[in-house]
Amino acid sequence: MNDACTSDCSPPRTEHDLPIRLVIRTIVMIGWVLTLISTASAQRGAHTGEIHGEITIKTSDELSDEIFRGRMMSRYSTDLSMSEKSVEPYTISEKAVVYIESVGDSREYPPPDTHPQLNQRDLIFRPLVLPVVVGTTVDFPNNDKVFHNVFSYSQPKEFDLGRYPQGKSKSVTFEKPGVVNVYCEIHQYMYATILVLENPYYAVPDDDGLFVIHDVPSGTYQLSFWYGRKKVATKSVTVRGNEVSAVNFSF
Amino acid sequence: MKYYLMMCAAVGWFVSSAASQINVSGEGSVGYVTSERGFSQYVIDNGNPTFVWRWDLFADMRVSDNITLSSNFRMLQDEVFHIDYFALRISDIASTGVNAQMGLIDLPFGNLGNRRFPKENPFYDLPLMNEHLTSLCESDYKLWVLEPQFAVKGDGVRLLDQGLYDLGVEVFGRFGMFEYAAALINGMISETGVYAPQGVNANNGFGGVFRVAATPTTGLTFGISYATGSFMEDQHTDTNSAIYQEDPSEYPQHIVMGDLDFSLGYFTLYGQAGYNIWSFQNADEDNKKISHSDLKAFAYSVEATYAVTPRLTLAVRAGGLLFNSIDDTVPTFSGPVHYSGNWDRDEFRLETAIDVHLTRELLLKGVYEWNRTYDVAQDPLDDVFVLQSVVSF
Repeated sequence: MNDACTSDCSPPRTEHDLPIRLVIRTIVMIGWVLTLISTASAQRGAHTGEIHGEITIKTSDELSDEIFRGRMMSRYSTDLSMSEKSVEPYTISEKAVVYIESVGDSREYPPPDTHPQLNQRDLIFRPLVLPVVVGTTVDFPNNDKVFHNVFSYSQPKEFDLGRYPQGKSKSVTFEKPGVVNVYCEIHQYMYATILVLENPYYAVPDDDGLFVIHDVPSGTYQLSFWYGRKKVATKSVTVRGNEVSAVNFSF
Repeated sequence: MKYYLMMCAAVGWFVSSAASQINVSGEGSVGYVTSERGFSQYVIDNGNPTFVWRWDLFADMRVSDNITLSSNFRMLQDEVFHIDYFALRISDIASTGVNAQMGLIDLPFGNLGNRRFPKENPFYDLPLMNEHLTSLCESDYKLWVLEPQFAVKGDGVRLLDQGLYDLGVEVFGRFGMFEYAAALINGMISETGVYAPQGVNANNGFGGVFRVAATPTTGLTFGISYATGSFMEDQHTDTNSAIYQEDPSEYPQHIVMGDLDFSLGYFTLYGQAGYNIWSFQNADEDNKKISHSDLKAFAYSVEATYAVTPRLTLAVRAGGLLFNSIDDTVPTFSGPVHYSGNWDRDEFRLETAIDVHLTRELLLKGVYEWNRTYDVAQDPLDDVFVLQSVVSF
């Protein structure tokens, strides 16, 4: 044991230590630089914009007509007294959705805490089109005095809820994106679509046809317009941070 | 041919001129049917396997907010183009809650409903009580049971005439949990007026059909139906009746039937049971020429389905017909014959079915019918197997 070694027992530095320290410092510096670049990049990604637009409907609504005619003419239904009641026609907010097909990432967006509802009321489904994010659980309450039996054979989600009475509700979770056509086994004219979307960048128009999609990441996307039973238009839209992009649809 | 072309043209005109006011839908089906090679009315094509088809077109027109015109056009492989249903329906007349339909209507009897059609019927045939041809001829007081060639194969009227359509008027409606219906029709449950010459009334009176039902809770409905009227053609003069020189329309049919409809979750149950009397007891009291026995029948049908998966449904149905005994001297072409025993063979049918929805519009069915005939030396070989595809649009 060397007696001089009392406080620092490191071996004495030599000339060979200098390059090693330089390499370590360089690595640390590069790390800092990469971190800064990454942070700056992330800050740029956080810049989001909005998509505003208006939907104008010029064509007759054949799907709604079909549903309401079917409802009125349900020949062997024992629910005639109910079907005589006038029902409010679908508003545009119940049958139109504007949505971004894909934002180009594989991120999984958390579903909402509350369950959106597809109501069975006055012997029809309301709304006619229900957009949800993948992973969302949808409730199907029966608000009619008669049985309904909600089912779907669509590929993203095949289900059959069986018959259940007024006041009861059943739920389905949609794990895959796609179009889910929903029917009632008892009332054959009843129809609705659940659009299971990959991201939350969609909007339901208000009753005047105006819509806003908030917090859209900057980028160029395909914006689709779904009306009734099908997608009727797609437009390209570029979103820039803190800016509003305008897209209108007419059908 | 001219008639059909005109009908098609009329439908086409409705479609083209009132596209926003008309619903056109339909069903088409093709079946592979094979039965055992026995001798009974249930044997199909002598036991040769055969394809069969059926086509239904529904054209429903909205005349105004509370008036609709509904129609069914049907064709089978062995029939010409046929109109089953053509009715003008008025809803909530003068805000009274009373509804009416008139024309060629569906009779408010039992709970057959939509199960008239292949898409909603999990089986191939209708219930046995709607299918079985009894030994009672529709045109005269003649019991085929006394004719050897018809001893097994029925060739007379049905208890319920298949889809139950007839010319007439009906009022119907609801009071809370109760629903009611009353109809006057040209013919009768067993022999509807559509078979009469020129399709008009063949009797000097109308048949009456009545039904009341209650739905105490969602998914549970009890109903009771009653029908009465002449089921045989009026011969106008007694001497026109080939054997009896009597007017057949004087002897009515009475039938009462209870029905039950229950469903919950993936399970449904339909039941019907009825008691029927074809009145002969008072016929020809003067000269005692004919049977003094009423011909009676008890019929039942119970049908259950369970949806195992969204696309797969299993179904089973049991139905039977029981006929009363008579002890009479019955005139035949070859002179009076004394007969003692059931006037027709008791029947039992058990049906099982597997229904698979390939899509919502395309249904595949596999059905097996066990048919059993009683009071015969040997039960005829007449089980039936059916594969059927049904496309709806």
